[in-house]
This record gives sequence, structure tokens and C-alpha cells, in this order.
Amino acid sequence: MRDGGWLLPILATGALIALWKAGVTLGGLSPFVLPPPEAVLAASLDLLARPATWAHLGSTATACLAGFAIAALVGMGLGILLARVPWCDRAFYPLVVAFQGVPKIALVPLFILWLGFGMATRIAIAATIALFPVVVATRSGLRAAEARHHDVLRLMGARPGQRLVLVDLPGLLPHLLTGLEIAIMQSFAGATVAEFLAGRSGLGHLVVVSLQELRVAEAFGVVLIQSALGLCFYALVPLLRRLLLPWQAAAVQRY
Amino acid sequence: MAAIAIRGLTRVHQAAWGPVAALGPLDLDIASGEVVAVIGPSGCGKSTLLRLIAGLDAPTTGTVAFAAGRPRIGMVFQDNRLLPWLDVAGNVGLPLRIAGVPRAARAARARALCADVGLAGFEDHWPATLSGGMAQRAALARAFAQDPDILLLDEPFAALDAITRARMNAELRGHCRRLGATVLLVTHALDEAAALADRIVVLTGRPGQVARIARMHKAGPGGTSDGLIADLARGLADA
Repeated sequence: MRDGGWLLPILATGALIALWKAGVTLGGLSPFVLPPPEAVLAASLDLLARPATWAHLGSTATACLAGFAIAALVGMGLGILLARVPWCDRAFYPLVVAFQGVPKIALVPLFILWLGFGMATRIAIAATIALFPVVVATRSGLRAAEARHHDVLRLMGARPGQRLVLVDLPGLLPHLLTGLEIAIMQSFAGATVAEFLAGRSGLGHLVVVSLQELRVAEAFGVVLIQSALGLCFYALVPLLRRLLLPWQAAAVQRY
Repeated sequence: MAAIAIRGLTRVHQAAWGPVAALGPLDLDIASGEVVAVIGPSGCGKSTLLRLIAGLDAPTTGTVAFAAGRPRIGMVFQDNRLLPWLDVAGNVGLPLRIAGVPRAARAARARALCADVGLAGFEDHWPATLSGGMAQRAALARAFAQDPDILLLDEPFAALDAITRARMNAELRGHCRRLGATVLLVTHALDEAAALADRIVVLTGRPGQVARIARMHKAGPGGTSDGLIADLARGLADA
């Protein structure tokens, strides 16, 4: 953090919470519409004290991470295929782009039809949503491999395998990590939506149940827990970036 | 026999708007251990010539023959072309790594090469943290690591500031003498060519052909070749 360190963001967050509190007490909003901040905090602490909540959290994390892992593996495979086999790229890349236009959430009923109301459906949805950014990142990362670096290795008599390891893969990594960063958040969003619609467990399911039973503060509390989990996932990729890309001082360009 | 014998060499690039004759036909013999500078207007195919000699591009017609059969060729480009994900020692030792030299021997040799070009203490720096001059030193060391029979320099210092460039040129002269390699230097700076080369080959505009060849007499009485350089400069302006 530059420019005033942590002070400004903390002040801004405090101001928003104060505004929230003021809206509830002075604005006369019903706690069924918007519970006060302290009630939400108390509800989330209460939730965290219950083992059942942790089971839901584990279920969500499983769907998200499994979906992400599948998207990462399949996405890299497809991206390599598109980047390396020209006729595949010509034939399938337009399809990949067209598929991006499909609102993947709209596919949830189909996945329920095919896979039922269990974990498989949630993983499949998370994977489907997270797939595209990985494919695109892998494809463009490999295509960006610079001819000028390949020139240098050809001069040294490097074999294709050596060029793959020394030029293509390290050059791909920054692009790939950007794709994975997007993919893990997409996967989390996909898993959550699937839990709304097809869940018997998971934090998304817990939100729906809380609202059905009119425990609004608890529903907000779950959202708070979801946000914390999302932040943990989001922190994962920059951590990987620092481990894998020590040579890259500044952040890479974003898609 | 000449270290490099170039016969009827031409190269036609396939640009989007059609074929572009970039070079030749060109005939040139370069003796073993000779330092030859190639100068000419921009776009005259100087870089193309080096890429053809290096085997990075294929000639459209003509041949490049080497006395040494398959010589070791080291090349330095205008941009340093260091791999950003390897540190300085890793980049300098890259030719050895590709040749399968064991890690310990590689590291020792890379350290020695770094010291030769004035990069001692920078072995574990990332390329992104080097200045332009430092990065070009690393690129030079990497070319030296190939123990080259032929050293191809494609405007190696063109992107550097004048002071750094002058110092790098002075050092390069020492390196050339020490290595005993056949050196082909492409430049658009006449003073650079005159300071380094035994012979200066002047190319015409595109497609590049030999306009004239001037032999420098640095060791002779009256040492300087000022008259010749002025003459060449006039010739270049006309080309």
C-alpha cells in the first residue's frame, strides 16, 4: 500500500459501515430488509461457532476448487492445442469465442437434468464457467512466445524440447496466472450460483435457507463468510505469482 | 580459404503487400580473424545479411560457406534478448546449458565470463533490473560463452547513450583482439566502424549490394584514416 498506507481504506470502510448503520436507525429501514451491521457481525460469529456451517463451507470450497482444477487442466490442454495446431485454431477458436457469449448460468438447469442435484452438478458448472479464461490465456501466452527469444536459442543449437522448456513455458506463465486468477473467481461464482439452484449443501444453499426462514441477518452473515472465502481464493494466485515469477517485478498486463 | 565465403546471396522478404528484395546479389569474402564492419543506409539489408550468415533465415538464392564446416556462431542483437526469467549468470551460461555442460562447471564459467565484461557481482540479478549497457554486456558475455569462431554483432550498442556506447566500443575492441574470432559488425555509425574494423563494407540502399570496400590502416605511419572516413561519409550521404 502506497499513498497513506492502510489508513484511507480503513476510513472508507468505516464510513460505509457508519452510513449503513445510519440508514437503518435514522432511515427507519426494517431489519427484515437491511439488518444493522452489528447484527450481521453477530450472526456470522454465531454461524462460525456451528459445525454445520463449516460443513457447508467445505462443500463450497470443494466445488470451487474441484471446478477450478478441472478448468485449469482442460483449459491448458485446449489452449495448447489451439496455439499449436493451426487447423484446430481455425476450426474451434470461433466456437470458443461464441461459447463465451452463452450465459453459462443458463446452462444450470441442463446440468441438473444431466447430473442431478449433487456435487457433480456444482463442480461441472464451476468448471464450465472457469474454463474460458484459462483457454484464452494459455493460447495467447503461447502465441506471444517471442520469435526474438527463439532466435537466440536456435543460434545456440537448442532442440525443440529445450526451447519449449526455456522459452515457451516460462513465457506462458505470466499469461496463464492471469487466466487462473480470473478462473478461480469465476469458479467460486459458478459454485455459489449452482448452490442456489441445485444445492442441498454449501454456503449458497445456506443463504437460500436462511432467507426462506426469514433469518435475514443470518443470510447477510453467510454472505460475509462467502466474501471472506472468496478473498482467500483470490489471494491464492498472487501468492503463486510471487513464487513462480520472481523475475517479474511489476504486475503483468490484465485481460 | 576465407572464413566466410558469400556468393550471389539474395534475400526476398514476403511482405503483406508483396515480395521485397532486401539484399543482394552480394559477394563477399571474410578472412579468418578479420573484423569487418558493414555500414549502409537503414533498410539496406544489413541485419538480413547477418541473419542469413547465422542461419536464422534462409537465402532466396546464393550461398554462405564456412571454412570451418559448422562454425560456432555467437550473435548480439540491438535489443539484448536476455531471457527475463533467467538471472544474469543463467543467461550468460545458457549456451553451455544447451550444450549439456554440468551445472557446477557452467556456473564457474558464467562467473568468469561476467567478470570479463565487467558484470562481476551482478550474476544473480534479473535482466529487468539491469541498465541498457549492463544488459548488453550480459548479451556479449552470452555470445562469448559459445566460444564463437564467428561473432555477429547487429548494431549492438545503437540503443545506448553516447558515453556508454563509446566505452562499450573501446571494450569491444579488446574483446575482439582477445577472442581472435572472425567478427562481422553491422552499424550505421561510421566512427564506430572505423574504430573497430579492419575493413569497412559499404552497402547501397535496398536491395543492399556492395557499394565499396575500404581497408583501414590503423597501424601504419600517420595512423588515422580521417581522409578515408570523410570520403566514406560523402559516399554514404550519396547512397
